[in-house]
Amino acid sequence: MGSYLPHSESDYKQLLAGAGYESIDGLFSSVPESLRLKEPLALPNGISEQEALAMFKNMAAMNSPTAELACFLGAGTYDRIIPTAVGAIASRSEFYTAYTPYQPEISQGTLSYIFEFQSMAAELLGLEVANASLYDGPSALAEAVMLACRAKKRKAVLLSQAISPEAKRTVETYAHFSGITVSYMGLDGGISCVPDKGELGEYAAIAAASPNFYGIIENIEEIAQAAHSAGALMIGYSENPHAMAVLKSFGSCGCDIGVAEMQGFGIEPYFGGPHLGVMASTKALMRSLPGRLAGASLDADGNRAFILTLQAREQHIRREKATSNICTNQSLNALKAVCYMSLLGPDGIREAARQGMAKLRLFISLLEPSGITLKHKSAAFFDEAVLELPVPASEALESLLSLGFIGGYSLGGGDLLVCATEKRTEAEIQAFAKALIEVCK
Amino acid sequence: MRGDYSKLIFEISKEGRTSYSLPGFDGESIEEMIDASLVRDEKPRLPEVSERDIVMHYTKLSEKNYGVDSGLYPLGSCTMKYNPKVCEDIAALEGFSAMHPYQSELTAQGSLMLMHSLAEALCEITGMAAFSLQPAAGAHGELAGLMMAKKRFETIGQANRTKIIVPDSSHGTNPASAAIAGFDVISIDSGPDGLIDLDALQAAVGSDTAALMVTNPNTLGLFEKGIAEACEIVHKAGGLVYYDGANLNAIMGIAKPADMGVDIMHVNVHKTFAAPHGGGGPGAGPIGASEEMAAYLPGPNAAFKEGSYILQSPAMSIGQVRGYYSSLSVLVKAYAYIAILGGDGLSEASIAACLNANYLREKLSSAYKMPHSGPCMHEFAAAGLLEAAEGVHTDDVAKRLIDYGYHPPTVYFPLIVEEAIMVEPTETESIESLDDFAEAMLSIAKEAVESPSLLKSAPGKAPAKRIDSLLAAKKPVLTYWQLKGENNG
Repeated sequence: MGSYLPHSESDYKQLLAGAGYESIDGLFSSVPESLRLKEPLALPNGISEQEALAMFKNMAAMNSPTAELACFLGAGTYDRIIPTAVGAIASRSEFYTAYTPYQPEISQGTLSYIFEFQSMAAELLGLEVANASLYDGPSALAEAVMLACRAKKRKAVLLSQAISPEAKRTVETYAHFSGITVSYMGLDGGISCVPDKGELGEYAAIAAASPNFYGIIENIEEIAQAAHSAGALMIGYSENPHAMAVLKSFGSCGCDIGVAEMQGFGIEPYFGGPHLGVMASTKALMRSLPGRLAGASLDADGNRAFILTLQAREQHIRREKATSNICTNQSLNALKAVCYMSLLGPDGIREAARQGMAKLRLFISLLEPSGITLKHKSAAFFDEAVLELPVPASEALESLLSLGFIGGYSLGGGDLLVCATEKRTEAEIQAFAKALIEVCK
Repeated sequence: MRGDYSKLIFEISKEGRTSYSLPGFDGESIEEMIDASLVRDEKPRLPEVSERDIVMHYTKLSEKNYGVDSGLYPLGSCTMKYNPKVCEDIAALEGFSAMHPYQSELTAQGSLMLMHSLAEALCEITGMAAFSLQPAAGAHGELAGLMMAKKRFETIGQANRTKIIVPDSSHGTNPASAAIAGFDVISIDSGPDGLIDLDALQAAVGSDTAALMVTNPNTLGLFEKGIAEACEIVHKAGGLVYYDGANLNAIMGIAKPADMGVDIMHVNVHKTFAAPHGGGGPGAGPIGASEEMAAYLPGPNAAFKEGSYILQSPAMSIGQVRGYYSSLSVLVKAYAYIAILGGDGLSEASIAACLNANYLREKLSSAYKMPHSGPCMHEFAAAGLLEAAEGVHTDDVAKRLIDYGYHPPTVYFPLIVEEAIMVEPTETESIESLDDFAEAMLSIAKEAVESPSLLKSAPGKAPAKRIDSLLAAKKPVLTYWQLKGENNG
């Protein structure tokens, strides 16, 4: 068995004596006898490092990862190219074995990259400030809904139905227990129907996704105008923020809050987590943001230095009056995103986005002879879109899997949501089109 | 540690410099694919840097950081133990990392098996009946647990139970989570021994009590001797007991929370099971439940049915508290750690953690106030220096420790201990490491009397001198654009 304990037999004796106890039992004298376990834990015996590697390799081999199957599935999690340097930087133990930078003088590395992350996220989403990250997009959207309800002193929000099911379900859970009512906008051709002013009640916020769950670029500007005319805040949401490097940002569309899931920025899909949520906002809402914030300050020598700030919002100071209960952020994933954005730069992210879009369009053009077409024909879409198949999508997915493809996400009936990122090769696209046509015959 | 580099990545950016490497693909241009009215006017102002400069930049930044690998990291309540390297290699296996969450269950049997096995191991270690791996952090587990309590009371027609009782020694996340789950918070004072005052608890419970939140060992590092009685008091009043498992590292194989009478609990797997803390995350906070409460757990979770692993949600589930199922890369490391240590190894880790803390506590007691009698469990709270020149405070001791090459302990927490210094050495520190740290602490105590300016001006040997937190809060500068005085958005 492996052990990471440094103590020899004689160390134990010396430690016990130094602590002033005669036996280990004495050390645990504060644990009532009735609660002390009489039997050892019924877990397997410990194993060596070598055995552990073999055990987990066997378990990993029971999976069929996207490395073995060509992945045309997006739906909120994206199989994108991750530059090698991202992993190299994130595996420096000065970063990954540190904790929350409570002692800023010896945490300038962490604080600097968090400050960089806030700057990049704010720039991408087109808003003035951003936080140091949140657990993931869905929980960050739930936090944004609660922020809006606090800020507007209202207890209802209006959501687009075309927000991802993961995010909708998460918001609904949080809202239920916080006494917030969630209503949904109508949906027409995959696009949210902008509500008439007269229909808008006392909503704290309207939230819509772009690209939405169907890959469609929504008219966020128009929805934001409706929100503001009813005295509500506008929340823009994206689980595919590569689009933000290409499309008008949430801020420029009039959003007060922008929320994103940034997994596609250098973070492995990892069967759903940990991913990387972020919330950006106008300066007016800065003091209501949940989670950590790194700010610039000066040290005693007058040099620029970074420190966690506006902590009066946070749970360890405000307890039940805090803006959120969040303590952990996704710091290491924020570092990966910062490295990713630096390595690709503005042109690289736009090129990745363009390639995904162009590859999806190539794929769709290859389907043309078969009669398989887009469901939402007039909508503008990003690198993901809904196809109408002549067979049930769930059956098509099973057949595609046997041919080596993760073929997309079944929306029920013949509706199949497919995605192409920059990572898909032309050969994969050709083969996938051929396979899909075959399984639809 | 080096402190001479203080640039931001934006400050080494130069227009037109690139380092990206994507396969070539012609295809259409953006303007050919979508209407110009949808397109961003200007490209985002992200850094334009070469790969060599990026790697250099972050390597230099890393040299301004202190991690567990750098040295003793006695940050109380955070369990900064050594993170085994093999767990990193295991978590990096492509068979785990390159898995899409919506892949069919048939192609994800390995991930699901791992999740199911870890949940079973957590049940054995804590005695709980079932675990959900959904919560992304300890505080997230608390929130999910309190939602479960609320849902149960809604279900059995007792929605009038709106109050959560929290001892004043609790983590700040406890009352904050309670408030977000829609409860009112009642704080009860601890007794002079630092433990829950059972009389105060008895007086606080009633027909409106939803739950007691308790941390055990508590945040003073003391085992709550009366926890079984406390659970009984709350249960008799019709309430539930929520157990904050942040300090589970002290009792593995020694005692099980379920035996104490606990209904719901979370486990900070990154603390107890050695997953690295990543500069503040990601962590994971699986939530466990008694038989009676298991149906309310969040989901979907991994289950084993008819020969294969599937995802399913409990019957009365509160729903999802995040996207997908878990923070799996963190959980893989935790499960690898459990597998390597085995049952005996985990108990031994807890014993050594408590032994190390008591040894250090004894060594420091000649110069630091120990407000409660021992034994402590895996950590202890000192109430500042026994003797010091005027104006010397806990914060000064902490900053001076940096000059001695250490990460300081947690300070000013818990709030109920004046000048609190919370020390958690963890089990992976050798006796020599503990002795060296004690020597530094005692030497600082001497300086606090003889040459207090050394403490007041500390740190002198860190990458930064003491940083002005008031300035940062008064004039918040949160982005590079604000730093340059430019507008954003």
